[in-house]
Amino acid sequence: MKFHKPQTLPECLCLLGKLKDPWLLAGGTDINVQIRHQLNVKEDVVFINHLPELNFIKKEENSLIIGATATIKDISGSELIKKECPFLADSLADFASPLISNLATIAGNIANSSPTADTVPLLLVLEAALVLSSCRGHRTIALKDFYTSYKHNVRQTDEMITSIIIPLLPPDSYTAHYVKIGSRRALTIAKAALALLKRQDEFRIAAGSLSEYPKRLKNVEEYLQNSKKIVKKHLFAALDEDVYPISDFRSEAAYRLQVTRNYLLKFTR
Amino acid sequence: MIELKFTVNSEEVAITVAENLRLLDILRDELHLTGTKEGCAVGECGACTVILNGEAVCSCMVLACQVQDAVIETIENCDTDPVLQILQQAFLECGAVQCGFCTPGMLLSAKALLLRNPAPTEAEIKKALEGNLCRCTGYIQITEAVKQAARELAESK
Repeated sequence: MKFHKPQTLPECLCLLGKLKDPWLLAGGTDINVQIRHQLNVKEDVVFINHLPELNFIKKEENSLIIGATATIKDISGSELIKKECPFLADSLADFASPLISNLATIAGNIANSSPTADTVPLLLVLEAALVLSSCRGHRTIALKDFYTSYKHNVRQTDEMITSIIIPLLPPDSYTAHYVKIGSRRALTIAKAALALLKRQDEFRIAAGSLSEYPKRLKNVEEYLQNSKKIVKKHLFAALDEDVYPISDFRSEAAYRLQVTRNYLLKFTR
Repeated sequence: MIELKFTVNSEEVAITVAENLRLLDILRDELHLTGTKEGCAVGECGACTVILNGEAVCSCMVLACQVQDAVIETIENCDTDPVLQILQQAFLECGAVQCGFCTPGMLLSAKALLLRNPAPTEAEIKKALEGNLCRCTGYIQITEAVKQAARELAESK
């Protein structure tokens, strides 16, 4: 394994263009475990955490822009985010222990592409976009279009996520809920996660751990938008079309579905 | 191999190590600071907690390259640091130590908390220590010890 530490972002992007599918290492809370246990090990590791161009949280016009290596702690503790998007700051309290939140980065959580990534359902209902950069240039894509299948996404091997853009809504113009269901409250990996944002008649709902990647529940959203009165049977039928819960070492498909139904009812009541 | 410079417990260290070493390995095996313990090695137990640039982190989650120019505090700083000493005494008085394996990590997470929040609530103490697992005490004594240390630190100012 070869370790690289580029000193600037342009140098880093140039390096990514030359290497064959390297690991990008920021906080390291996912990758360091894989290195330790020799899982899916790649030939090259590129450190990016020290690059000053990637570590920022700012507001530009009507958006929050979060640099790739902002940690979960940076975000949940940011006065700007607490003011402009309290839903995001508050919801990240359940992310992990402080020992991990102090290291783990937002772009790492997204790029790792786990079905159970904690930040992703939140960012999906906030309609976040990702800036992907390479030595060829930059492109911006909606987070909802980022994942393609289990653990796969549209990032090319010479690209990296450099920032996350969150279009801002006035905090008093919507209500939002988030729940992460695990075996316990702290230090848990979600068996299911549900984020819901309601703004006038618009519903935005996203789920984690219920499909091969976190995604918006389009049928549920459409049903809620078009129904004056919520009929459980119809709501659950829409949910069945959106999610594909599985049974694995963490939970049972039936439990995942039931708990999601319950929270969906609770949040829409 | 990588040449590293960083500060541990106010002493500057210059060392050449393999790039795939974790901060935990560097502390224990290269610098012989064995107060930092290895538990799960996957970031879940907190036994290897150190303070890195002011924040409590799992040292098993940090690779050599990530500590270049960093400021690190380990439990060995207890020899001279008054906050760690007050915490250590409070842990002893409250019966917050049984086997002691988690205690170095507990003290460092508690110190990181008290540095930014000198008067934490019980909920804030629990949140700050949630990444440090203890299989002996049941946590009540540990929470009490941090409260006692916070009171003593406030009085000593």
